[in-house]
Amino acid sequence: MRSKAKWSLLLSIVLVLSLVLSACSGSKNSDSKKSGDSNALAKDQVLNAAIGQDIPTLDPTQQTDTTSGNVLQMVNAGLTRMHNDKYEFDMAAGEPKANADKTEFTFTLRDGIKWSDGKPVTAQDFVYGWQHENDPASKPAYNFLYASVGIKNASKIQNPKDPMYGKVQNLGIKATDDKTVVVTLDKPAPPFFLSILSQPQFYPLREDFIKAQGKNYAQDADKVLYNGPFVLQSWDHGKGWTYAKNKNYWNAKNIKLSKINVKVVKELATRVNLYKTGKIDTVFLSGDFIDSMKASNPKEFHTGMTSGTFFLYINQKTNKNFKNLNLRKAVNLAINKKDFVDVLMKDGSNASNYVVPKGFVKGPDGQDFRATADNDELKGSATDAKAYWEKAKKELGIKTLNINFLTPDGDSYKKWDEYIADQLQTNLKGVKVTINQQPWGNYLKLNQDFKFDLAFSGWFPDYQDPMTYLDMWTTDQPQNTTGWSNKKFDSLIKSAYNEKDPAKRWKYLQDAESVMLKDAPIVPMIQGGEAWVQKTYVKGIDYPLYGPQVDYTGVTITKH
Amino acid sequence: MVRYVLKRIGYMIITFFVIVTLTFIAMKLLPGTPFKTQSRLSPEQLAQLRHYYGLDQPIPVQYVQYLWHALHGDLGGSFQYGMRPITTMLAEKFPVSLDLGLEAIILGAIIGILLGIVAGIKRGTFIDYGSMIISVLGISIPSFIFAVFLQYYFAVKNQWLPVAEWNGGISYHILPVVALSVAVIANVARFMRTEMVEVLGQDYIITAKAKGISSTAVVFKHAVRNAMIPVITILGPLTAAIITGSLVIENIFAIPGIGNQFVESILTNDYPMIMGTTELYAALFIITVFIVDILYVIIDPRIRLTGGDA
Repeated sequence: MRSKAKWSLLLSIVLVLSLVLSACSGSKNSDSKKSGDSNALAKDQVLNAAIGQDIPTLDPTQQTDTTSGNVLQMVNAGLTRMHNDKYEFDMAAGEPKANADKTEFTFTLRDGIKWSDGKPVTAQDFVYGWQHENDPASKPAYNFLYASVGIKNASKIQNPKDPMYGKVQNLGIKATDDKTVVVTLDKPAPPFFLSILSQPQFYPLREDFIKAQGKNYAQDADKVLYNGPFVLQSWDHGKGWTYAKNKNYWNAKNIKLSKINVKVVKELATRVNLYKTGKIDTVFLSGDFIDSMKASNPKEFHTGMTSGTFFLYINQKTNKNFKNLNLRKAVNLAINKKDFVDVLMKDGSNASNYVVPKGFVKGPDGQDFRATADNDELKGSATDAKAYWEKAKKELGIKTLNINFLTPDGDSYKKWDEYIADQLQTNLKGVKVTINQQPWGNYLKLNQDFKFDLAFSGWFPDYQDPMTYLDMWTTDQPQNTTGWSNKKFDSLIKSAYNEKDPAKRWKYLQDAESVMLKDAPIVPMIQGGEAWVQKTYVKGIDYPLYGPQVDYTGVTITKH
Repeated sequence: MVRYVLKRIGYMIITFFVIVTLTFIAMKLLPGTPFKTQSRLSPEQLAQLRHYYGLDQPIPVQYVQYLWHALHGDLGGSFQYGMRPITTMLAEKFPVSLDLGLEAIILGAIIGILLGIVAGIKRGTFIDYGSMIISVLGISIPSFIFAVFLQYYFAVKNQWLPVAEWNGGISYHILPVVALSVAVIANVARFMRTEMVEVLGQDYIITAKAKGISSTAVVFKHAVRNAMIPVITILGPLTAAIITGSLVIENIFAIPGIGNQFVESILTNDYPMIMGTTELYAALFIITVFIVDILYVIIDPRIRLTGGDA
């Protein structure tokens, strides 16, 4: 007995020592075998991935987050689908027939489209799906998209104070036969009408199936029907899920992947270790992993842009000093955004002086919004900032300024906050910044109650149009927690809402952004980027700026 | 004894009830809502959602409703996860945490006790100092550092074991269980050693030795049994702490346990999940402490749970 105890002790000591020694040696694991250059397809078209979060919901009516949204866009399909930054017709056979006013659209469904149980996808499924999404009884979480695009009566049906509240049969969608869907709108269709139909909120749903499942609907992989490129073969809650190619999908011949395994792994370091050991083929990076993976796996490292914008709210409602334009400009120019991106983010983010992001949407002229918009309104250096600060001090009769800087909490915010505070204090003598990091719920409350001077915030688009970034800044919008109000801006947004001519509408939106930037009611910081690694044998993985977060429909695996 | 046990069970229920009530009140004081899109909803839409889920009722009403449903086995659904029933989620995730925790406790207790015994017997030698150094390291270095270390060395550098996941095979258990057991080994070994040293100096040990009993028998029959009592005292709370506190280890090794759910639920105001996990943890802790008290009597006949009337 005693000798055994000794043995285990010895083992433990050896174990601990070997750990300590190995830490000092600092040897690096050389990564995976080199893949051949050949583009020939591998026998197994299987992609392995990992993600930090389980699927919150498979019910399109409840979907509000990107993870669920991504899964739904892979396993289901609406009239259109976003692919390679464009909309394509999916369940719809092609361009709808529109009336002269562009308020009525007749879609014809494709032949041979089927649900995963083999039954055909019909026009009635679209009618039920859209009505279900607007029915208060199904507790919809994101159906204001219907009002944004102007589907007939949607805003009335969603408004508890309206006599039409909940009367979904009045919604602007009809099935004239099994193959024909007629959609009517309150006003001429905005340019993003066809792209927004790719979103899960506009999917067809099967009434008989949902009613039969009752409370269990969408709770497991076999409690949902699929009509998209993939089906969920399994969903092991908390551990991960598996997509399999949907043989019933009309475009199945162009989907090459037979399977995608997604593991739920909360810890980024662990996801990176899984990647290094070849268990997964791609992983998103952030923080220190960006530098280390770029150095160790340069050929597998990629960066891209997202449509997420980050900015600082300036509270001019309860802090009267910030009513001063020179002060707002001083704050804007005092922060070196390029260093912020190059030194802190390093993930392909773009320093931004703008509101509508780059590469997100093209106008009627075929050009990106940013290509023809005013980009220089908030350009300038720290020297300019100092000059504005001197003017502001004179105009306001102040010598010093205390700024309460509100931000959500989290490790990455900490670095960002300190950088911003330091820039303001260094470049604007007499300014003192107090960083106020708060948990998300409290952050929102303090933000909405105007209990801050500057607040870090971000915005992601609801639909593919500049309006999703702009109309929130009109007077008294709940999201406009700056107190800024500009009549000209409000009227330009209103004109854009009602304008039928796409070119004129585009001009209104660009002018509106320009008016806003001249007033500097916020500090635009960056357009977010994303950094990831993917094995060289993975081809065609797409991270579009609008649509699914990760699009697997074009992925192939080459021989390796 | 029976009377004592009944009385204890009564206290346990009261304690549990107090914890549930306080948690409910504290939880409702959290700012924010469970709705992820709250920043995009108009006040009317938000009010509508609050109404659907009964969150617009006065807190005492919500509390009574919650208790009423809970007594009928309905803990509600998780806002974060598409209203999936809390009971289903706990039933899926808790066994994983329990499995991990118990494996770590058993491994840790065995190694810790052995280390403590050897150190106690070989007091003042290299073995004693060696095991105490391990013990101090184990207490002072957080388990996640060991976890990261183990993962790097055994799974990434040498690829002997899987990096993460919890796929049934024993190879998936080794690293997380070892990482989690380090703190247990350290605590138990230190306690065990101190007690061994004390017990070995007692008169009855000298008597036993004088009677000619072999030293192995003296150590295991007399010394270890007596030295175990304080160790059991710490094992109770330690078990509860390990099972409920394995969050970081669960995250590092991608184990679908409950630890992460608890933290996530607080950050997202997922009220039913906050309540569900708190109730589970509270029950676990209360029951563990109770079991330890009962174990005392079994191991040490000198301890009587009721005063004079025993």
